[in-house]
Amino acid sequence: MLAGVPEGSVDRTLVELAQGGDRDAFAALLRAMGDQMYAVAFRVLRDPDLAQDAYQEAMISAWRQLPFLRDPESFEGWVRRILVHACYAESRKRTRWTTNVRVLDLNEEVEGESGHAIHDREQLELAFRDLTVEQRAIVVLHHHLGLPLVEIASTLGIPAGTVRSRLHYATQTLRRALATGEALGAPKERLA
Amino acid sequence: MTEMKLDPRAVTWLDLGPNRAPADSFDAIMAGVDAVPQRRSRLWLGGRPVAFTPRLLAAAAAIVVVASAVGGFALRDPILDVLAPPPGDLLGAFPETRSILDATGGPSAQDETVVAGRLPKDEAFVISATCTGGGSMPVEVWDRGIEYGPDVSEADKQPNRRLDVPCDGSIATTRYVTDPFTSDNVELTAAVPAGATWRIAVGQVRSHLDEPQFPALEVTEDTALMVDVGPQLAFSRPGLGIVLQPPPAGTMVAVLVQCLGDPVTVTSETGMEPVQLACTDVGTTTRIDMPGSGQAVRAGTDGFAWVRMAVEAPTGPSAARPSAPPMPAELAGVAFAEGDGQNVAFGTLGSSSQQLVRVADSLVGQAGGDVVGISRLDGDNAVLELWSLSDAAMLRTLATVRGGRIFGSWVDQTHEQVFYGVQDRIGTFEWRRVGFDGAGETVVASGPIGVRFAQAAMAVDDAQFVAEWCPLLGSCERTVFEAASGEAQRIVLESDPICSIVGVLDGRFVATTPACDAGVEQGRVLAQAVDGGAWTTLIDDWADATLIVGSEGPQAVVLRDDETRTILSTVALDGTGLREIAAVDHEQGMGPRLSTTRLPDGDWILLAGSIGDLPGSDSSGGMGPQLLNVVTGEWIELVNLPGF
Repeated sequence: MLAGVPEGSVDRTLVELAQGGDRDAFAALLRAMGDQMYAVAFRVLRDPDLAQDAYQEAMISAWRQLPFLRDPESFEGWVRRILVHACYAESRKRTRWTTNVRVLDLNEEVEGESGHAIHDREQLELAFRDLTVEQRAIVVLHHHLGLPLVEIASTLGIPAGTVRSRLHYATQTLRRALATGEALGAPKERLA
Repeated sequence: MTEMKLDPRAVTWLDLGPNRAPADSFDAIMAGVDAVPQRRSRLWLGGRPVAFTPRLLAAAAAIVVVASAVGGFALRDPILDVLAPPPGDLLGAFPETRSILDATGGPSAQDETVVAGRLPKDEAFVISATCTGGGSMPVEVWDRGIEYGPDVSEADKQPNRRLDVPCDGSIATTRYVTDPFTSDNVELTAAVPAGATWRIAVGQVRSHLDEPQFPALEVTEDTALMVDVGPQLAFSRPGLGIVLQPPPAGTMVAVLVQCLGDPVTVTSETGMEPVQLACTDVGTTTRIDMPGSGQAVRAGTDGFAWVRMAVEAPTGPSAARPSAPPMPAELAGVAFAEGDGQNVAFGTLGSSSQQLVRVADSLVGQAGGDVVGISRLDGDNAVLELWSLSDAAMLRTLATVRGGRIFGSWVDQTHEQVFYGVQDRIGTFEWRRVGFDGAGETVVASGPIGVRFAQAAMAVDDAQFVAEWCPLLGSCERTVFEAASGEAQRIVLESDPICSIVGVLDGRFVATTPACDAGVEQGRVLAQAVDGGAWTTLIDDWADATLIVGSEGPQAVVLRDDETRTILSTVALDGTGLREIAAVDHEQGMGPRLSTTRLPDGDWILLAGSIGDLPGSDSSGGMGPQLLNVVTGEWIELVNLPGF
C-alpha cells in the first residue's frame, strides 16, 4: 500500500502562492504530489498512456481552478477529486475507441516464480478491468492510498453508503476472480 | 465502519506498477501551466487541453527518456570481501553486449545478501552469474521504487526477476529490460550461501532497443483486424501476449506475428502445438489460426526479440449465440451500431447475429431510425458518413472536415438531417447540420474561445438539437436549434454549470449536477425548460438517467445506487410522480447500466453495456442486456446479445 499524502501535509504557503499565480510554487506542489497522482491514475486506468493523459489533464485543471479553492488546507483532497474525475473522463472517452483485447504484461514472469502467482495476477487484472471505473477508483483510494471510506466519500462527492457498496462489490469480484483461478489451476505453460 | 478486507494477493498486485510519474509529464504540465494561466481563457473541450497530450509530446518525451537513460547510469560497487572468484568470462557467449558490471566476492562465514549493483532504466541487459562452494545463489532484480504497505508481508514481495544459480561452477544467465517507467533504484542482489565464492556480470544490449519497422499487416479478405499491439521487446518466456475475449463459439481467429531478433515461441492455452519462429526477417508475417477461445496467446523467447502481435477475425455474421427470446416486434426490429474505433458491429435487438465491418479510426454517433452517422479519420481530414443500420452499409459521405476532427454526431430521423460536432486544428469548435442527402450544410452553434466544457444532445422527440457550453469564467450558454424550422436561439444561462446532459424531451432539458469538475455537493438530476428558467429537481441524489415517451407521457427513468441495490425509478419531467419500479441486488453481480441505444416510444428501456458483437467489446461485468417495461415490470433477458 502506498501511503497517501496526508491531508494538510502539503505546505499551505505553497498552495496560497500557487493560488496567486506563482508557477514555481505550483511546480513544488507538483513535485510533492505528482508521483502519487500518477500512481493512482495508473492503477485506476491500468494503462500508462491513459494514466498520463488523466494525470496531466488533472494537474493542468488544478492549476486553472486553484484560485477558486476556498480552503488551502483541503488541497490534497481537492486535487485527488480532480484526478479521479479526469480518470472517469479518460476512461469513458476511450471506451468506444479501444478494443478490449487485453495485452498481457510484457515479460512479467519472474524466473522461479510460481505459475499460480502469475495466474492470480492475470485473474486479478481481468476482474479489475471488469469493474466500473468508479469502483476501481474506490479500490485504489482505499487499498492503495489507504484512505478511509468517509474521506473517499468526501473526495468523490458521493454518499458514504455508495462508496461502501461499490467497494464491497469490487472486493467480492476480486475475491471471486482469485477463487476461480484457484479452481482452474495455473496453466501448464506457465509452470514450465 | 467495517473494513473491506482484500486478499493479500490482490493488495500486492495492486501495489505493483509505477509509483513515479513519467519524466516528461512534469514538463508537459508546466508547459500547460504556462499556456493556460489562471483566470485567462483557453480552449478546453471536454476537459482536455488540446495542446498537451502525451502523443503530441512524444518527440520531446523520447528525448527526455534517452537523456535520463544515459545520465541516470549508476552502478554501485558490491560491498564484499574480494577473494578468489570463480574464473571465466561470463559474457563470452554474448559478444553483442557491453560489460557494465563485473562483481565478485566470497566466501563469507555465513549466508548473506549482497547488492551487486543497480540497473539503469530503459536498457536491455544480459545478467550472467556463477558461484562455487555448494548450494545455490538466487540472483534477483528488485525495483526498490515499489512501495509496499504494512499489510504486505515479506513473503508476498516478489522480485522483478530471479535467476537461480547453482554453486557448482556452471554459468546461469537471464535477460532483463528496464522500461522508462522503472524507478531509478533497480537493484541487482545475490543471496550468497556461506562458504561460496561468486561472480556476477551484466552486459548491456543497447542494439536490441532499436525498434524495427515491421511492414503493414495484410488482412485476409472477409476478416477485420481486431487488435494490433505494435512492436514490443520480448525477453522471456512465456513472454508478451494477448487475450481475446470469447467470441461466439466456433469462431476461428488468426494471430498474426511479426518478429525480429532471437527465435520466438508462440504458445497458447488452447492446446495448440507451440509454433517456433526464427525471427530473422523483418518482412515475414506468420499467421496462426486458432479458435477464438478467450485464452491467452503468448510469444516468448530465450533471448531478445521485437514482436508484433495482431488478431484478425471474420467479419461475417457471427454464429452460435442463443436465439432471441420472444419480444414485441417493434423492439426486435430495433437496429443498432456499436464501434470499437476500428470496427463497427451492426445488429438488431431481436437477432443473434451481427455484421462486423472494418471502419478504421471511426466513431459511431447517435443513431435514429435506420441510419447512423459514422465519422472517421482520413489522413489529416475527418469524414462524416451516413450508414444504413439494417444493411450495414455506407450510404453516402455527408461532410469532410479538412484538418480537424468530428467528435460526435446525432441523427434527426424525423427531419432527415444529421448534426455533428467539429473541432479544428487550432482547437476551435462548432456544431453543424447537414441533410441526409448531403445538402444544406450549416453551422448551428459555435463556442467561444476558452470553455470549461461543451456538450450536445438531440431531443428524444427530434424537436430540437441542443448544444451547451460554459466558459472558464462567466455564464454558460446554450443554443437551441429547432429541428423543423431551423431557427436557433442562443441563451445565456444564469445557473451553475451542469455535469452532463441526460436528454431533451417535450421541451424539457434534463441534466445531472453539479459540474463534473465541481465540489462535493449533493448530486441531483434536474430539469428545466429547454430555453432556460427555473430548475426542477427530479432526483435528489447522484444518479444516471434516460428519457422515454411512455404510456404515462414523457418521463425520466432514473438509476441510482444505495448500499446494496441499484434502484430504478420513473419520474415525470416536472418532478412529480416519482415511483420506484425495480431494484437489482448488487450481490448478484454488477449493477445494470442504461444503454444509449434508442428504443421506439413506449414503456420499455434497455439496460445493457456494450451489445456490439465486437471480439474485444467490454460486455462482461454487467448483468447482461435486459429489456424492462417500466409500467408492467416485465423483464426480457436478451440472451442473444453479448453480455451473457
